[in-house]
Amino acid sequence: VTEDSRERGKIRRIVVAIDASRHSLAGLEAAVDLARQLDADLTGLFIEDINLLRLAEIPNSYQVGRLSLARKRLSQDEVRRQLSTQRSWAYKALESLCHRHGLRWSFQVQRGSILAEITRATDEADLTILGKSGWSDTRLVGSTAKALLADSGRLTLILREGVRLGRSVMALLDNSDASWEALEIASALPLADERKLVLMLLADSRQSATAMEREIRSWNQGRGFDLTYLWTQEPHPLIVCSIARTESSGILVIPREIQGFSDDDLAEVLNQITCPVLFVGSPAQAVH
Amino acid sequence: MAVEPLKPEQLYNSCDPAQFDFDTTADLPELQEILGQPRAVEALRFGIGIRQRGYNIFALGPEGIGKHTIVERFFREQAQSEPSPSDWCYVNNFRQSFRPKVIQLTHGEGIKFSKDMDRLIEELSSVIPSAFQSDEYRARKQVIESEFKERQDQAFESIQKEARDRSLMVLRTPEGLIFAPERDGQVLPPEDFQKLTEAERQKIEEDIEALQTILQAALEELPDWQRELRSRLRDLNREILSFSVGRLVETLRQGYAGYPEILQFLDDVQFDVVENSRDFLDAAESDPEARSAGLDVLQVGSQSGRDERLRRYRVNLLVDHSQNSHAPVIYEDNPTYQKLIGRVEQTARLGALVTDFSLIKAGSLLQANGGYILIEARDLLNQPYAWEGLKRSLQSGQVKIETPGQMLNSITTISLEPEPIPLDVKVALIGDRLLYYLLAQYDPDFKELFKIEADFDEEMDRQTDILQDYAQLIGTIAHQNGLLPLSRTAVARVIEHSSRMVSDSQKLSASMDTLIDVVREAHHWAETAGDSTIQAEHIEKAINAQIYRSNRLQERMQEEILRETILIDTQGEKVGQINGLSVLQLGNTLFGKPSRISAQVRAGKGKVIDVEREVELGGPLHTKGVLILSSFLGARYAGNLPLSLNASLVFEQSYGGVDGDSASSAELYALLSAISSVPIQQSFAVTGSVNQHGEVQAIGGVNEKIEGFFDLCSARGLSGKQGVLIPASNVKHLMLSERVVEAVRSGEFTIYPIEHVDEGIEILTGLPVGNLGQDGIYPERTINRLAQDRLNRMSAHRNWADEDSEDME
Repeated sequence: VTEDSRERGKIRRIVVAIDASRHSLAGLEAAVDLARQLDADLTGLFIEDINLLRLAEIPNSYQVGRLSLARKRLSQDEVRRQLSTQRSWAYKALESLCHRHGLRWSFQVQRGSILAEITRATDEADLTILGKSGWSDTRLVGSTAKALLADSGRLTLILREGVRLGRSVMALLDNSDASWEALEIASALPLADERKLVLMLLADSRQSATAMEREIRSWNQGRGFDLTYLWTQEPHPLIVCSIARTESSGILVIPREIQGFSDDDLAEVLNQITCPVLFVGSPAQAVH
Repeated sequence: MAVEPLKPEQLYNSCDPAQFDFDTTADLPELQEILGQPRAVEALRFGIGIRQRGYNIFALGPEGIGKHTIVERFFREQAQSEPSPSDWCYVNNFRQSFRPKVIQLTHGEGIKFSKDMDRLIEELSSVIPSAFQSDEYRARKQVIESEFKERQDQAFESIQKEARDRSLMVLRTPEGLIFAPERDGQVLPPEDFQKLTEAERQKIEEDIEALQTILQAALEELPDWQRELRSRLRDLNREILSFSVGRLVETLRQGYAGYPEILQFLDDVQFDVVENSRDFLDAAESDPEARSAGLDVLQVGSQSGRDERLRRYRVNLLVDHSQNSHAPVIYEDNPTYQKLIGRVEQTARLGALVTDFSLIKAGSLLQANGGYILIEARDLLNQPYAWEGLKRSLQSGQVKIETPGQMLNSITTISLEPEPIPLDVKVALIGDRLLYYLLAQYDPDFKELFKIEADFDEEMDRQTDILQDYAQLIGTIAHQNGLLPLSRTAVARVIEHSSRMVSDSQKLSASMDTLIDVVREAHHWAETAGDSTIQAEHIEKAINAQIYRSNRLQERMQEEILRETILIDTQGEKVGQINGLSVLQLGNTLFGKPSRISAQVRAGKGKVIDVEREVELGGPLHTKGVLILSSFLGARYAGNLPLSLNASLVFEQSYGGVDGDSASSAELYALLSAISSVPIQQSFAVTGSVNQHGEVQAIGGVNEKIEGFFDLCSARGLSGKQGVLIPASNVKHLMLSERVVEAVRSGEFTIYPIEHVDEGIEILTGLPVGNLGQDGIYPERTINRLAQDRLNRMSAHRNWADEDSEDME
């Protein structure tokens, strides 16, 4: 990663984790869309889960089918075949989309722990994209995504299956450095023609909110965004999700460290929200 | 017995322009009445007035006499006094979608009903999503969902906790879930697993098996939970929507209290809307709300997809009379089965052809329902199944829209069976006479369904009192066609041409199409000349131009005669040879052509050989004419004795067949000449049929025949001796061209009206025919005496020859 690409708001390299699940397909489509709009390099990352490979070597391992409920013995051949099929599917999906849009792209296969490999990949990327959960049936955020909220690189975009990246951007801001970074990132995203940004200001008083608004107006001098300001005193995941839905937000930008939001709160935002969420690490966290 | 040649004024019935009291047709008002078709008009009046089943109209007559115009005019006049009929529409049948329901509404109500339903859908599209987005709905839904989600999460959390307690972890794959021994958040490496004691491994396997059993039990319950969730959400939807939807539908219901079918339809709509409320959510609204409400995401798509789904609540307004204040009059110019009866269209969806009530299209029969429809009979009969479809509709008194394949039971794919629509329409078929008589002869249904025969005449009497109206008609048509007005001399010339068209100086043509073509072309010449009125010379020029454009073959034939490739004498005299006259028709062109007819006689048993017939070039009418000659000769010369000659008759240089009996008088003259050995003047040509008594009878195409021979003589140089013998009964048909009339006037050409062959033979030979004396013998130096003597000699020769042959035996 070059210093140039570390410029504020610049996204030059995108890594998308693909495991052939529907969530990851949504992530891939969003990654292609962003790479096309931002003229960024795109890397598809497929991870051969070391846990599965290990498990297959343990005698008498069984898999319980989700729909059939049947117990099936898990062999090494079976696991390798499954991984091979997923890898091939992931490669073809990536290749097809990138060719169609004329993108610069690459495909990486890593073997190891999923979380560890994704974390490693985020070190080398300006933006990491992944599905909300892997092969889980529940609506809850998966363990990998949840873990990444606590420890990952500068930008992480997480979205669920069936969701597409929208052109209306909403950012949740307090007055921290991370918020200004989030504002820069939000403004650098591909926006609709009206260049409209909805800014949800998290402030404990109207005066603070007004002060923030003033500062942002100053920031917008010469930039010319159409800014809409919302103010909330209560840092609650459901409020954020409700406002995002009301504003028909196409993407929600949240600083990873924001006043009043724990990692669990951020996970709850992911559980409840329907639009993609882009988590922005603090500048200090971003420079590894 | 001397026959007087015809005078010039007998050859052409001129129309005197002075009888008209106008300068140009622009001075005349438009003619309102129908001219010269009293029978057809009476039939039409009756046919339109009688409102009984089967009293439909067949307007028959030749092309171009205005059948269509007149019938349509009658229909329109009648329709003006009749009210606009009902509107018809199809709506979805919510119980049997393959059988759409038909609804009849007062005219103008159909479009209102259709718009009301569109508005209802629009309002529902707003009300239903709003209801789903309301705080009340969301809150109640969230409670239900949370309850189920918690139940599900608890189940999995409980399993995960159980797993953690047993130092196991859960892995997820595309196919299912796996329990594995855990160490430090990762699966225990296999080599470490191998290092475990047998008891430890046994314990892990037992734990895994126990957890798998618990997991299976939990997974088994999942579908039931989801079903329960969907059911409770549906109940919630029903509860939330019943009021808002019911209120909207009730408002609409009040406006249609007089239509029980509509009230039933609205009930069905209300029930269906509540049951399928997801159809009112577009993609944005439905995802994730629809899914979280247990709805099928695959069925919820784009805006256009939603419109398509909501189509079942709309109205297919099949027949809309909202803009009409009276009964409809429809002319179906392309009467295919589908255009006439209607059709059920299909549309491709996901690779398959599908259809529904909204794709039912009305045919022209339904558009004309309650009014009138005109159809060209030939076009109708040319279209597969169209005639059958029309008959079936008229017989049953209803229109059943189905594909021809359905009608024939030859297609078994699923389609619609729309409810039939009652039919009350007056149909007028327009066609030629042949078609009418063929249908009457061969189709037993025809007379049952088309009881009114409106027979249009191709000609009308040329009486003085009608000429003013005829002039008015010409002016009206010229005006309607945007042509210049005609001067009175031009009108007179058109009237003369009209008589010529029907080959009758005492008749006028009713074929206004052909006549107006002449006026149209005259208009062109007048415009080219910069005149503001069509004059007689423009009419003349148009007629001549028409003739010139189509007389190439006529000229070629005359050229071949002049070059003596085809042998026709127009001077001198010959025994047993005469110029007959025939008429050829090529397309719309009719022209006369002289033909040499020759006869040879010898002793025999009284047989007249028709060479044309022997080689199968003669038609039955020609053969009949020749047989009549035999009878005439036998009666005149043989009495009670057998006719002792054999004769042969030939149309020289005829290669294309001969029919008709118009040459029979000429053949008789040739035979008499051959029998009597008296030569015939070749400067004459002859036409006319003859009966057994020798009377000469009328033939067709007399004008063209005379002109054909005249043009040949004229080309060779008129000698003053040339002329034509025509039946006296054809004199009234003479409308000869100016060039012939002038030649007659100047004595260069003669036309004789002949009533009996005796008159003709005297003119042709210059000898008297001779009357039979008391002694049974004709006078000396008469045709009959010479013929009788020859026949007697032949009879003697024959008797002598017969005796010889008996001796030899």
